[in-house]
Amino acid sequence: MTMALLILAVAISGCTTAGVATSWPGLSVSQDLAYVAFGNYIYAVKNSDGSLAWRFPQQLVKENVFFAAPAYENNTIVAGDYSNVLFSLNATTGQQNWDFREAKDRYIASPLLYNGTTYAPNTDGHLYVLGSSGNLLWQFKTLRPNWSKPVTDGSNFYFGSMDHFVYALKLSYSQDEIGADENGKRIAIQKPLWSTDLVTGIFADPILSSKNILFAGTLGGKLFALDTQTGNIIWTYPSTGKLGGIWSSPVLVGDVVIVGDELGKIYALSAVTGAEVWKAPVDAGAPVIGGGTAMTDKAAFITTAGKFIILDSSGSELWNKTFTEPLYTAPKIMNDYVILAAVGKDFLLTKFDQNGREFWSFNPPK
Amino acid sequence: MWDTIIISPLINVLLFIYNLIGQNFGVAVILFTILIKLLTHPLTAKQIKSTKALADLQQDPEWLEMQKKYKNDKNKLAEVQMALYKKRGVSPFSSCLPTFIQLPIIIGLYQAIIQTMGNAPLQLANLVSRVSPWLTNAFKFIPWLKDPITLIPLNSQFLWMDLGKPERLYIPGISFGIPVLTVLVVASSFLQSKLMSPPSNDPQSKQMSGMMNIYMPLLMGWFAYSFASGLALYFVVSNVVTIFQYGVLGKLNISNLFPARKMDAKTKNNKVRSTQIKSSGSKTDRK
Repeated sequence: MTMALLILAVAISGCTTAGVATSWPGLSVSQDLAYVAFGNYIYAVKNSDGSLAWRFPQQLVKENVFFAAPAYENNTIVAGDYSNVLFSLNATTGQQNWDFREAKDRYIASPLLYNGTTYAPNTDGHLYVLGSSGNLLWQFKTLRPNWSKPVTDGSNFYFGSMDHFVYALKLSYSQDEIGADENGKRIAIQKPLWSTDLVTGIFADPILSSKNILFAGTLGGKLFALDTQTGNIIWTYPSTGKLGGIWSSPVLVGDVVIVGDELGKIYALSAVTGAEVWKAPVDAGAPVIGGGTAMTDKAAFITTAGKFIILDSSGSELWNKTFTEPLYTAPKIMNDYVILAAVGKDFLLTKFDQNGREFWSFNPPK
Repeated sequence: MWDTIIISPLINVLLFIYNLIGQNFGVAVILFTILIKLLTHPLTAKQIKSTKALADLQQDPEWLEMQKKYKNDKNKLAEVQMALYKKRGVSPFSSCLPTFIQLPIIIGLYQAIIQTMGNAPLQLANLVSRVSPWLTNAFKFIPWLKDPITLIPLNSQFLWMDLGKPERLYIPGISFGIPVLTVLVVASSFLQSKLMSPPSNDPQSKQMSGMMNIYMPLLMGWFAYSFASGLALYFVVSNVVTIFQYGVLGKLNISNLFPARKMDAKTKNNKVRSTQIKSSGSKTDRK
């Protein structure tokens, strides 16, 4: 038995996730800088040459673990970490504007930053709304943790939760509309504009079309199109059965919504009707966890096997590039160039053009 | 291979229990641990029996005699030991074999619990890829069972604990959290190793088991203090069930817990023996 315990101890020390990345890099871009949150730092990398503009914090703080993509607006970025803190930073210098420490759990979702207000979903089952100086304006309670980034149409915002619901809330509420939370503090919005049960957890960030349709994929392998006014389900794909789990936002290319699943299949559907656009799904060969991005009339997707694929509007593969690193972070387009983040030794960030020609790679300084 | 044969089935059994009992992960971990312990009980019983036979053999006068006789000739000692094992029908490896058979299950059980508690994206992706509805489908006559994918992420709240994080109990007026589960893990691990140590006359074995009795509980305590409390809960339940198993089989060495009483008993026995020797000696003299 002692031997068994010893081997178990070795197994535990070898298998626990302490000190090991538990997520993938979070990536966002501005005009000149790419911001990548990974491990103990947020790095700002120059688009021009891939050099480091700044990192936050400057010195290692072990408690700070960043994975959620920083939100960018008007020379400000906001990023949450695994020690329950939300930071606002000057996007050019990396200087801290403010921090918010009232959440009780980690930030896995990226926040929405809109007109100076931050909408930050947290895994403690709240969405916190903060003013431009980091002051708590109000909060909204969900039934389970919140892992997906809100999206806004300019009057309301929408987000999915692990409690299976998609919620719609107003961007701002008057004091009269704000009620008391469980401790009697007047900071809680009790009722959303609407909420719709999608049956399984929502990890992927929902997206909006210009036609007031919200697209949300679920871990249960369904893609839903919802009416943003009412929350009613317009269509569901597939209507019967299910895909592999949907871990990433769909991509909108014109009137076509394209989504990848964890079984490695990529589907194209009519945004209006949910009808299949391609004859058959594209087989990406490995799970599509990070999703993709639109490139004018094309779409780029990534797989956990390190494959970057560009597809045209008919689902034909234009070209692909395979990296040695697994890819979990959706690529970003920055001035017509692709910025890609990876988990591995080769690079954390790389830039290439739409023909696959590489310009630079960035690795964090030791 | 390992994932397919061990981890995925165990994860799905754990999820099924969680589903069945109304989504309480703490109770699911407790029941899951007890279930696996019950299923592996025949192996445990065999191992306990073999360990006892081996320990008894090592108390045998013939064994002790050969230790003395061949203490400077290791090869000869090994040879005569093997001959004695054969003569008494005891295999020196018979106590190890059940342990080695159980080992993949023990490690798999631990990994299943850790992976099911996944509360970060990579862990959750790993968990979702392993979820299968086969057990739910097999028991679909139970009306409240849900498709397991709808249960994810699991609700890891149990009593005052978040089973996905290290446990601390915060009491008003005390500025720091008390690691209650860590204390329970250390105490139950210590009890378990003390109660399960077979008696030995070999000073080297005694020293070894004495050290293990101290270091193993501390090591387990450190794991409980640092890692997710679901793991600590598993340690506590596993220790308690193991002690219970030994108790049921009548193999608990309660005397290990009370060295003074043990010494007293030994002294008393020695006194009785010397009195008997003396009295038999005087009888002989009288004759």
